[in-house]
Amino acid sequence: MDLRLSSGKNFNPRISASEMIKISHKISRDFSPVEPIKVDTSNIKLTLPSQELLRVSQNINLYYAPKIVSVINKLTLLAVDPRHLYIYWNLANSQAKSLLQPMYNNDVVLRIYSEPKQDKINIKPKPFIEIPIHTFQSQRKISIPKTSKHTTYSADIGNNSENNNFTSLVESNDLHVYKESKLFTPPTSHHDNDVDIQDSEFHPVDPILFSTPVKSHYASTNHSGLGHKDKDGE
Amino acid sequence: MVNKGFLSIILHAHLPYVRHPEYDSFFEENWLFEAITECYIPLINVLDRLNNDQINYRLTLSLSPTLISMLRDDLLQSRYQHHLNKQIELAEKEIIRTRHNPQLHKLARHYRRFFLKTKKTYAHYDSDLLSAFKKHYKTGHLELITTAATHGFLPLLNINETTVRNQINTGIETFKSNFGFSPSGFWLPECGFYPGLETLLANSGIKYFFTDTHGVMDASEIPKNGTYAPLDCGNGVMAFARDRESSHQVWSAEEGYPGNVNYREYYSDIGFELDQEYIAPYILDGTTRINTGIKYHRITGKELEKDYYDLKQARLKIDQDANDFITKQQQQIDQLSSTMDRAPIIVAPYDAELFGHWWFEGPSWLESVLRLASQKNNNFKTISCSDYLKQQSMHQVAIPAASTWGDDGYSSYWINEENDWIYPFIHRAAEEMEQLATDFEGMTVSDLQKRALNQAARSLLLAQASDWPFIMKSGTTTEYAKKRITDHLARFNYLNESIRKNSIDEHYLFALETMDNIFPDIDYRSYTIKPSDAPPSIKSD
Repeated sequence: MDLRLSSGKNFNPRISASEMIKISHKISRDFSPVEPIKVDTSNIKLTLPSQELLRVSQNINLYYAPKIVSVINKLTLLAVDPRHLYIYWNLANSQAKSLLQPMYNNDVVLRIYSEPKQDKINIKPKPFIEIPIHTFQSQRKISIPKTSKHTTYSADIGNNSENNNFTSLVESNDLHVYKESKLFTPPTSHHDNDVDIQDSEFHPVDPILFSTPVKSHYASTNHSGLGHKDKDGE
Repeated sequence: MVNKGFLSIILHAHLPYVRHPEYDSFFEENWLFEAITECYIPLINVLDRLNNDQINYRLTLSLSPTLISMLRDDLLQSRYQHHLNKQIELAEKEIIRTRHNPQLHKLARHYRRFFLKTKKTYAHYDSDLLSAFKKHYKTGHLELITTAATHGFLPLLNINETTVRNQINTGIETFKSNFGFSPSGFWLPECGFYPGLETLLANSGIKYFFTDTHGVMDASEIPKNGTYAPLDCGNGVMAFARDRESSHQVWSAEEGYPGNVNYREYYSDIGFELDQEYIAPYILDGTTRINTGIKYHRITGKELEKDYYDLKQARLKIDQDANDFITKQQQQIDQLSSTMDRAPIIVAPYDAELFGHWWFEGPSWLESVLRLASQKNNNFKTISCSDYLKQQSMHQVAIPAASTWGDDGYSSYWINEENDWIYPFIHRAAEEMEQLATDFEGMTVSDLQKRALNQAARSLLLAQASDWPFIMKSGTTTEYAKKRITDHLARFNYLNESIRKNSIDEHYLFALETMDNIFPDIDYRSYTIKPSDAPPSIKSD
């Protein structure tokens, strides 16, 4: 190859200098070798190896995963939307449990009021709905009448005695339910386990006969939470 | 042109706590790495360019405490660096693989440049992205605010006021310890507001927060300026409402800008398309296919075969959409200013992760919008809510209605048949934490006990993240969400029992402190029951 072709007065390139520069810049931009970021691990203070952390985590999960057991009576109301509230309860004490026996023939009821709890000294009858219950624990969505003003609900679980006296076993929190909005269509979704309270004045509804199935809340399968151990750590 | 009104764009940046030092790599940590590469660094690059060009803009950025913690974390920083190196390596392989296909080859080179630019920015800020945001805060262009500690959905935690108070205060304290000042504004997780929350916000020094549109429209008094001026909650805390129009323009799946056929298709990623052997080094375990961030197709249209992504076409569309957005705001401001007794403010909040991750062109669109908005021929200025309150201090007094920006405007996404089981557990844990703190009040607490009590508070906060019930409902990484909430509740239960039985195992405690190292300054004593928090009387044996 005659090197004189690349220089001197006989050099006649088919490509202009400016174009050569342009191409050279483009190649440099796209193909220059890249030194990887140096991964700085000097500040990482993991003084326990990852295997040990995993072992501790798994041991704790094995023995301390949340279980559906409670030692106190509890009744809680939560707001879902303007047409629904959510309720869960747990009756833990022996008095409550004895009142629930025999099944299907007791007077333990859930009372839902469309007013806040009142000072017990000021006894004032308030409208309520009664739902017979037969389970120690349950959680349910309950349909409520629509309202365009701020409304507070509360609830009691208690026992109706033979002479129609109601003895409260556990009270709920006061719950300010959502007000119906001019901008949203009220949701009307309903599931089999939901309880409907009629739109008109309260009156008794069918009893809640079935408890929520006891679910395992320990994630025994873990498809998405995938952790990877390097081969050395296996 | 005369300034007739204001536009406030708010980006809410949040990720749940996905740090897993107990594994050498963990799938869900990729959420953070993808967000850094596709959202946070591109946003920083936008802010850097605007600053260099001396563009006059104002933007608000909410950073969640969990995100703040992860961005600052040494382990996650080093894992991110490794992740980015792999992305660059993959892009280089792609350049070689696609050399015979000019369209793909061009895109492969684009991705390499994109990842290199990402690397350059990350190195420039010494892997500390919070310092970048702080720098822009100091220029006066970026207002920084925060949200609840672990983004707990407050309307379903509020049966216990201590819980809500700690979600708010721990969030503010985390922000303050990282940025050196307290935020004026507060992003309510999922815009979940209920009457009474304004009192807790005021007690924490917050000056304003955000609700969804109907939160203000259904307020205790009819808002005479609609959503175009804030409401004073009666205690000096102001409620700003999301504007429907500007929200629809971006968020709408059918009509929003991100759905345009010329924009990049999110679901077409080479991690799911290329040969297993080729892509193995860049996906999880070499077998589980995941997003790599390299995507070659544009949305194209429903039922159509996906076309290759065209950078020039996308760029044209970005500019067109930015102009369209600005024009619409101008029209809206013109209309509003003629009827209102004050300059209107259009409040446009978005999830930060939309810009760059779900909508690849989002950061470029945002940059164009801010540039256009700064031009003198505009009838409005960009502003933060703090600035607006400085200009206009007197506002109509009313309490917003309970509301969220969730699907149906209320709480159903966070409590339904998919996730309702969690609430008895997290409520119970909150009560037990209160009881623990109260029982130890006034007692001499050993260092070990103090560490265990603080760690219990961390586990409780982490269990309360709204992300877990959200994911369970959306059905995406359901098992991970169940695992996380179970892990955190189990850790709380373990610590509670250990403390009660005075049998704290220091080795186990240290392991938990290592795994969940968030909120280093947490103080369990903030859970002590105050007289006004006393729960209602509960019947017992």
